[in-house]
Amino acid sequence: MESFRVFVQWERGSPHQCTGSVLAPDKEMALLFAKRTVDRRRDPVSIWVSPEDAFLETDPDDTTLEQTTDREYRNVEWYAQNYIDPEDQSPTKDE
Amino acid sequence: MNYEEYPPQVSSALRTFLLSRADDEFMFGHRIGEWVGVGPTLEEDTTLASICQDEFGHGRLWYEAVARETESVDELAFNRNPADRFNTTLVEHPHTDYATLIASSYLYQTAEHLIVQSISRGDIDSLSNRADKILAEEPLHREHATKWLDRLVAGEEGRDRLTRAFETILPAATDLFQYDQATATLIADRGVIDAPLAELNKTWQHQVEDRLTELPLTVEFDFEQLSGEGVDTCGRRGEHTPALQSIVDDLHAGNVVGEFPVGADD
Repeated sequence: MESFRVFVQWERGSPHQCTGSVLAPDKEMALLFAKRTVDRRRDPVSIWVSPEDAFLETDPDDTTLEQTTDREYRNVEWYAQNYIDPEDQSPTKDE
Repeated sequence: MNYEEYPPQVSSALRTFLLSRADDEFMFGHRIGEWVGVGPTLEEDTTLASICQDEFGHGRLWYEAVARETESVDELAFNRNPADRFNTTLVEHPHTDYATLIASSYLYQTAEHLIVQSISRGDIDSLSNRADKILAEEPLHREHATKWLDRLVAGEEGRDRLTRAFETILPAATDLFQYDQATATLIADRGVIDAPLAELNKTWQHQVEDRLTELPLTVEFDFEQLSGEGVDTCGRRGEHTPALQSIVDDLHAGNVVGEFPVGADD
């Protein structure tokens, strides 16, 4: 028996969500079990299964994924907040 | 459908036929339900519980088609003695191991599919609507049985157990299409089904024979018997094995007994 990760799409166009895993002898049985194991009170659009060992994961404590320098200016929000309208004659708060 | 509007002979045939559909689903659902909690894995348990619920739901659809004001669905389902029940002896057969469950499920699901499909194509709307609802839920049941068949034959123990299971239960499946002549003729003539039962029986016989010959099993059985020749105990005529009485007793075990005592009115 092998562990398979189950992904469910609840609405067309929305992403598949990882909803847990099932134990099965192979991927076809895994899909059959997944069809019956996911919440049947709602109607899923599609279901994926994949062998657990097909995944390579990062460590949740992996610090190399965190940014150490300020890169705020790269975000669209930064420009939105710091935009100066050339037509606007009213004194800015720096003046 | 108000089947009582038909002449007595027709309504009696309809009642027998519809009750046989309902009893099949109810009893097979019960046998599958017995596996819940002791199935091989949690996932298989969940799947069996789900199939069991489907079968009970399908049984309810047919009981509802028969039920009248004086006779509720619960009374029909719980409060009838084995001699008044018309399920095939296949569905009452105890599942002594997992191979027996899979083998009976395969035989039952394939036969049920042919009958329900034929009702769906029949002339009586209120019945074909019910058949359509059932057909929508059925593919997964067949998928479950056939996928397990393919996997159980992969190992030597699986092959041994499946061979034994088929040899034990195939004789119990010979009554699946063996309604008495009057019932068989009337339900075909009235358009309850779109093809004669004998024709469905033949299709099923060939399907089963082909499938079992394909599998790497050596099942000692004369498949000609599936045509119903020389059927021993015919569930469709109210003949049953002691296994059905034990299911009925189970249904009335413990606190349930007070509410629907079988034979209390006798």
